[in-house]
Amino acid sequence: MMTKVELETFVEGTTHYFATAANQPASVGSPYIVQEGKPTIQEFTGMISIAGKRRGIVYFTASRPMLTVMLMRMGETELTQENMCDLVGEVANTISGNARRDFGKDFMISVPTVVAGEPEKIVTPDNIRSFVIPINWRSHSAQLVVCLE
Amino acid sequence: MGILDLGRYKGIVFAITGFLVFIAIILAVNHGKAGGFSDNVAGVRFLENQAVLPHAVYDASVQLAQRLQNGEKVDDALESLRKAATTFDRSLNSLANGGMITDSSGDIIVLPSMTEPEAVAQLKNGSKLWDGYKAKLDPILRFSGSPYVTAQPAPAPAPAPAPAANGKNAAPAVAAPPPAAPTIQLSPRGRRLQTALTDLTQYGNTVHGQLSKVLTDLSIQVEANSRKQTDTLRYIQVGGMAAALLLLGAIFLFFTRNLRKEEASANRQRKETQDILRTVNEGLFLLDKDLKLGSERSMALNNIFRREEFLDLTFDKLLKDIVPEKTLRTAMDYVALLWGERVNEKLVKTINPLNEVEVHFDNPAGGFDTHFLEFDFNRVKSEGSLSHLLVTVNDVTKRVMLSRELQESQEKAQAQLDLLLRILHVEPDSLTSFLTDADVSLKMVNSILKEPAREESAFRAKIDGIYRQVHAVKGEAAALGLKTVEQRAHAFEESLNDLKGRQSLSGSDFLPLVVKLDDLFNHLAQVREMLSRLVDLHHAIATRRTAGSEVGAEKVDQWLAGQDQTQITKAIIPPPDLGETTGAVGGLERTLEDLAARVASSQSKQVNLRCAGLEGVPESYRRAVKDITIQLVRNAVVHGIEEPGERAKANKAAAGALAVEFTPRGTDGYELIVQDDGRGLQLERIKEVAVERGLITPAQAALLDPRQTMALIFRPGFSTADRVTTDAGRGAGMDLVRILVAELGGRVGLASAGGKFSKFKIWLPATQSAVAA
Repeated sequence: MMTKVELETFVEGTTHYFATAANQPASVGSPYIVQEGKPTIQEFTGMISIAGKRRGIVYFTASRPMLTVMLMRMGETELTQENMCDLVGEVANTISGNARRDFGKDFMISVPTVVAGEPEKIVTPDNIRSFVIPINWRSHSAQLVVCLE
Repeated sequence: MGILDLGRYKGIVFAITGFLVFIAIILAVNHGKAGGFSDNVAGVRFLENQAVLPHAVYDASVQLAQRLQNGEKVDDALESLRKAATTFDRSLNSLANGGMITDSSGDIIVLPSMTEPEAVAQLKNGSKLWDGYKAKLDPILRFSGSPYVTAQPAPAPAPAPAPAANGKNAAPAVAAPPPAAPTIQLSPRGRRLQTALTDLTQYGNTVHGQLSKVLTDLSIQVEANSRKQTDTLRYIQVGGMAAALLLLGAIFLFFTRNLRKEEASANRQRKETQDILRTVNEGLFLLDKDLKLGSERSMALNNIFRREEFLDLTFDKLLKDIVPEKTLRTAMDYVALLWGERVNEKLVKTINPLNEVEVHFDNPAGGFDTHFLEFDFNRVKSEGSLSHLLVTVNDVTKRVMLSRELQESQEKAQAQLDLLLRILHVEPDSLTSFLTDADVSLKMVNSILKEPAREESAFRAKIDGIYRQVHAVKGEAAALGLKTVEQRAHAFEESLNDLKGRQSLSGSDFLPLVVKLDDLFNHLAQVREMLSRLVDLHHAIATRRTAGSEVGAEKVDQWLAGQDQTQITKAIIPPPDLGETTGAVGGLERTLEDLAARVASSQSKQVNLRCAGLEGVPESYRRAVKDITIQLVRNAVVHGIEEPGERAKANKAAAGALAVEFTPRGTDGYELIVQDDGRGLQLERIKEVAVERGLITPAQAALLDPRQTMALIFRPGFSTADRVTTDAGRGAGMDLVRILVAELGGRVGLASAGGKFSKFKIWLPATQSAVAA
C-alpha cells in the first residue's frame, strides 16, 4: 500500500524544483485518485520508472503554456519544444533525486525519460490506482502522477 | 615446490641432464685421447733421434780407435763415446719402463710405454744387444788417463856439410835435420784399451745397425700406435656424436610425443571445460582477492546478467547497476566476510544475504525488468590458503515468483477467510447494498478531493463533505459488524479531524487522506470479491443440486437467501436473484437489529429493537433513511438506553425498548420516528458539553430554552461521549442526520422527557412518484 511518506517524497521533489529552479514556489493542489482509465497526461511529460520495494512509474506532466512561462521565468529565450522537454525532464530528475535520497536503499530508480505528446508511450501498471497531485504554479496547473504497486 | 620436486618436468630434466653427462664423457674421452697425440709425436721424434745413437756410439768408438792408433789424444773422443753410450742407455731404459726423459732441448718428454708384445720383444732384443754392447763398452768407458807412454827418441846423426864447394851460389847448407820426434807408444793400458776398442768396433760393426733398426722399428710402431689412436679417437668422436644425436633425437621424440599427449589431454580437458561452461545453466565464475572476476566463466552468465563483457569487472561493478545500494553494501560485506581465514563456511552460508536477491535490469522500452538471482559462494583453497571464491548464480525468478504468489495466495486466502467469517454474519442484501453505497460514498469523497482548490477556504470546505461521506460508511459498516471497514473509516475520520484542527491547510495536508481512501477502496474491493466468490459458490452448489447430488452447504444458501439461521431447514431453496433490491429494506431491519445488538453488547446494555414500515421506504430515500436510522439507533443505544442496573432502579425492564417506524403520510410525505425509553436528553449536560467544546459561551448557555438546548446536539462536533470510539465521540452523527434531512428537504423534530424517553421525528417530503400517484 502506498504510504504518505512516499507520496510526500515525490511531491517535495517536484515543489523543490519550482522553489529553486523556477524562482517561484508552486503550491500543491488537492490530491485525488484515478481508479479507471489513464490519469491526465498533458503535452509534456517527464517520467521515471521505479522497481524494488515498489514497482511502477511516477511522472510530471505539464502544459505547453505553463512550461513556456517557466522557461521565461528562468531567463530562457528559446521557447522550443526541446527546451520544454528538457524542463519536464529536469523536474523528473529532481523527483528521482529526492526519491533516491529517501528510498535509494530500497528502490531502483531509472533515469528520466521525456514524452512530448504521445500519451500511449506512458504505460501505467494494470489494475493499479494512480494518485494525482495537482501542482499549481501561478495560474497554471501541472500534475504529478504516482502509479506504484 | 622443492628443488627436486620437478613435477611434470621431471622427465625432461633427467633426459637433458643425461644427455649433458654423455656429452661431457665424450669430451673427456676425446680430451684424454687427444692429449696422447703430442706425447706420441714427441715419442716418434725421440725414437728417430735415438735411432742414430748406436751409429754415434760406433762412430765414436771407431774414432777413438783411430786416435789411439795414431797416438793422438783420445780424451774428447772417449768423452763423445761415453756421452753417446750414456744417452742411448738412458733412452733405452726409459723406453723399456715408459718413463720420462729430458731431450736435448731440455723439454721433458713422456715416453710412450711400449706395451705391445712386438714392441716388448723388440725392446727386449734391443736391450739384449745393448747389454752385449754395453759389456764391451764398459772397460772403455771406465778408462781414464792417457793410453800412451812417452819414450825420448835416439839423437840424430850430424848434419852433412853444406854443398858450397859445389857451386858458387851454393845452396845454403843443408839445414840440420829436424830433431827426431819422441816416439809414442801405447802403454799397457793403452794396449788394453786398443784391444777393447778393437773388440767393440768389431761387435759394434754388426750390432749398431741392429740397434738402430730396433729404435726405428719402435718409432714406426709408436707412429702406427698414434695413428691407431687417432682412428680410435675419430671413431669415438663420430660414435659419440652419432650417439648424442640419437639420444637427442630420442629425447626429442619422447618429449614431442609426451607434449602431444599432454596437449591432446589439455585440449580435451579444455574442450570439456568449455562444453561444461557453455552448457551449464548456472552462472559460474571465480572471484579473486581483489573481487575481480576470473577470465573463465559460464555462458549462462551472459544471459543472467544481460551483458557480454566481463573483462576486468569487479563484483561490485557487476551488481552496482542492478541492485539497490543497501543490497550492494550488504553483498560486499558478506563477500568480504568470506575471505576471512578463520571462517566457518557452512555457518557463513546460512546467512548468505544473496541467496534470493532482487535485481533490476534496464528495459530498453523503459522501466525495469525484475529478476531474482540466487548467489552461492564456495571458498577455493590452493596449497592450504584461500585463492578464490567460486560463485554460482542462478536465475530463480520463476521459483521466487511462484513462491511469492503462493504466499500471497495463502495470505490472501487467510485474509479472505477472516473476511468471509465476518461477512457470513452479514445479511447478503445488506452487504450488497452497503458495498454499493460505500462505493458511491468513496467516489464522492474522491470527487470532492478532485475539485480544484488553491485557497485554504477551498481546502477547508472539502473536509466537512468528506467527513459526512466517510461517517456514513463507517456507520453502516458498524451496523453490519464489518469491523475492518469500520476501523479504516474511523482512521479516515481521525485524519479529517486532525485537518480540522490545523491553522492552515494545503494540498500536501490531504495526502494522508488519499492514501487512506486508496486503502478503503482496496479493502472494499476485497469484500466485493469475497461476496462474488460466495455467489459463485452458491451457483455451483445449486447446479450440482439440480443434477441430483446431495444437498450441501445450506449455510451458504441460507445466507444468500437472507434467512435467519434459526429457521434453517433442509428444504431446497431456489437461489435468490441477487440483482433485485427487494430485500434491501428487510436488510435494513436486520442491519439495525445487528447494530443495536452489537452496540448494546459493547456498552453492556440490553435492547429490543422494533422496526415497522421500513419496507415502505421509497427507493430515492432508501440510502438517506438507512444512514439516518443507523445514526439514530446507535445514538439511542449509546446515549439513551441505560445499563440494566440503572434501568432496574428506575423500575424499567432490563432491556431498553427502541422503535423505528416509517409511516407514509400521503401527500404530506413520510414520517420516520426513532424512539427509545432511555434516560432522555439531559439538557444540563448538553449545555455543559457545548460550552466545553466552545460551541457556545456560558452566557449563551444560560439563555437557552429546552428546545434550543436540544438543537445543540445537531451542531457539528457535538458529542457527550467522554472519549472517542468507533461508536461515538466526534459529534458527527447528528450533524449527518441534520444534513441528510435537510438535503431531502425534510425537517427534524425532537421530544424528550428526562428519565423516560427520547423521540426523533423526521418528516420527509413526498417523492415525485408518490405525488403523481
